[in-house]
Amino acid sequence: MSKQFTFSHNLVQHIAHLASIPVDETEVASLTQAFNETLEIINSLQSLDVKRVEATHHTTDLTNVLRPDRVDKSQMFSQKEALANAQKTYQGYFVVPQVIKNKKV
Amino acid sequence: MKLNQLTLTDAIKGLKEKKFSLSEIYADINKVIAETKDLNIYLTINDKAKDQASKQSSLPLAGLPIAVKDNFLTKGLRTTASSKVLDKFIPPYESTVTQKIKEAGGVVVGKTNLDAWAHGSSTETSDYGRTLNPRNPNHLPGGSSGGSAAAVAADAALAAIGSETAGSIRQPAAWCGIVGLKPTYGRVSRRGVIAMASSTDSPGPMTKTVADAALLLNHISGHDPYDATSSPKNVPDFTQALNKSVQNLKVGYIYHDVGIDTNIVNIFEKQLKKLEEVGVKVEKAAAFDPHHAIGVYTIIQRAEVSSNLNRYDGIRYGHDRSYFGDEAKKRIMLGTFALSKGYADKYYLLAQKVRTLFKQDFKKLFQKYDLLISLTSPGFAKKVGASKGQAAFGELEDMLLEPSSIVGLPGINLPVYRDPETNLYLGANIVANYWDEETMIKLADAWEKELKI
Repeated sequence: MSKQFTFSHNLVQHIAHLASIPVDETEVASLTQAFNETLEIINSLQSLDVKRVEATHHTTDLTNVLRPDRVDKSQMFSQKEALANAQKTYQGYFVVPQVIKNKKV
Repeated sequence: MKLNQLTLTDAIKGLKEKKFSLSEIYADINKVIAETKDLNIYLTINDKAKDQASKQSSLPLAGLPIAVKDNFLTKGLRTTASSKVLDKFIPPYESTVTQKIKEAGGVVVGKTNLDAWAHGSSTETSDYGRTLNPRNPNHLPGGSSGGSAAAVAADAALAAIGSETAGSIRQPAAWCGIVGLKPTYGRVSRRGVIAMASSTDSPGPMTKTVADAALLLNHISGHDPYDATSSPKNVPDFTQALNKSVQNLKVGYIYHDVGIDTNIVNIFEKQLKKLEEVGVKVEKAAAFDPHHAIGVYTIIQRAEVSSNLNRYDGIRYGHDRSYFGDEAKKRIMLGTFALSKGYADKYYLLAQKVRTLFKQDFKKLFQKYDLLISLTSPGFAKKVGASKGQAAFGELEDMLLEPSSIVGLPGINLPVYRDPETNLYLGANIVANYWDEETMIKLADAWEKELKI
């Protein structure tokens, strides 16, 4: 990884694919520019010495948060509630977009 | 005085003494909501508020109208996070915070505008249009809880609820000249709050006075078995910290040398002097450069956003991912990058380590001081349109708040100055040690009474 890392159009397109965000060509150009601007802010951290520093993942030091493995009916949705906000349903199911396309042999 | 101008505390007292009725309060509230429509404060109004209020009147919050940021799920009442992705979303369950408010007798009068997904510090990135600052409509209310801050400043609710990830309660409170309290991370449950950066998201009260903030915090705090990061610690009665002596409190004045406009600094330091007059010991203190917090927050927030906003697939609820606005797209993608193979160590892990440096620095500061004080925002509310084309608008505006946010400390904004020409405010940010909201409430209450802004 070189020190002069910058975002390219190709990389931005790749990230869009990974994040499942639809973007067009003009957006790719403006996103590339915006990411490179943000990169300058982020890169200022590289000057700090963190060799002997542990990472903080949680700020208030809670440990081992467990709960009994019991069914809590008050927290369950009925089928009707679960489906109420779906764009498309069919006989009590969510309808999902087709992912695997049929290939003509 | 119109009844919508009452503080929460005075309204509860007045109702008890039968000085006025709940329906008189709602009449005034509804009138001002209609009159301030152009400010674009509310996205959804709860039509049943008045009916619900009459059933709640015997409870502590007495059926009083409270505005809630539109990223808190309210069962049966549309919740959008100001994003078109959730344009028609009707939540099937209630957030813990609004549940607690209802159980205490409060009524959700409406859902307030925010930067879409709470991504921003202006309320200009809302998919439903910007909110204007009620103190001066040529200016922004700040954000992301800009609608809630504006609701309180416009007297369009007696109090409000906001949420803060890094400044989103305290900065709009400063810009709108109200009190905004961000509790210790984990003091208030995040359950049912549309997740942004889960490791720092903290719901909190936005109110007209410190006393109201203490009162509302009493009702929303506490352990929630449905939020594993909420703390099992006991919740004190925060109103006990009001009207107390602040003699000999030791306060460290931080971020006095980070390049803020000298006029602003001078005004602020004049107000700080008034604290000394009531016996507080104020001393300039050196703190870890807050500029580094911008980088840390940018990485951590984008990373957590990319994970949290993954769930929006447009299948079970909401629209598909083409409905994300520009800011959300940017943040999701940058976060995806920061967590991707080959870059996670260079960016995400580095940010988490610098986060530790901030934690260590605060620990040192709190060995010496009871509280830390700085300006909340480096200036007055910016003009409408100011956030456009600025990649790091929010990060720069929130720089003085980000350090305490990324380490989970509590803080409160207190309005300390009103500019007579523009009617805009400056706020002080008072930060306390973990779980010590009481000391910061004590100081803010005493200072508020001394300043009489």
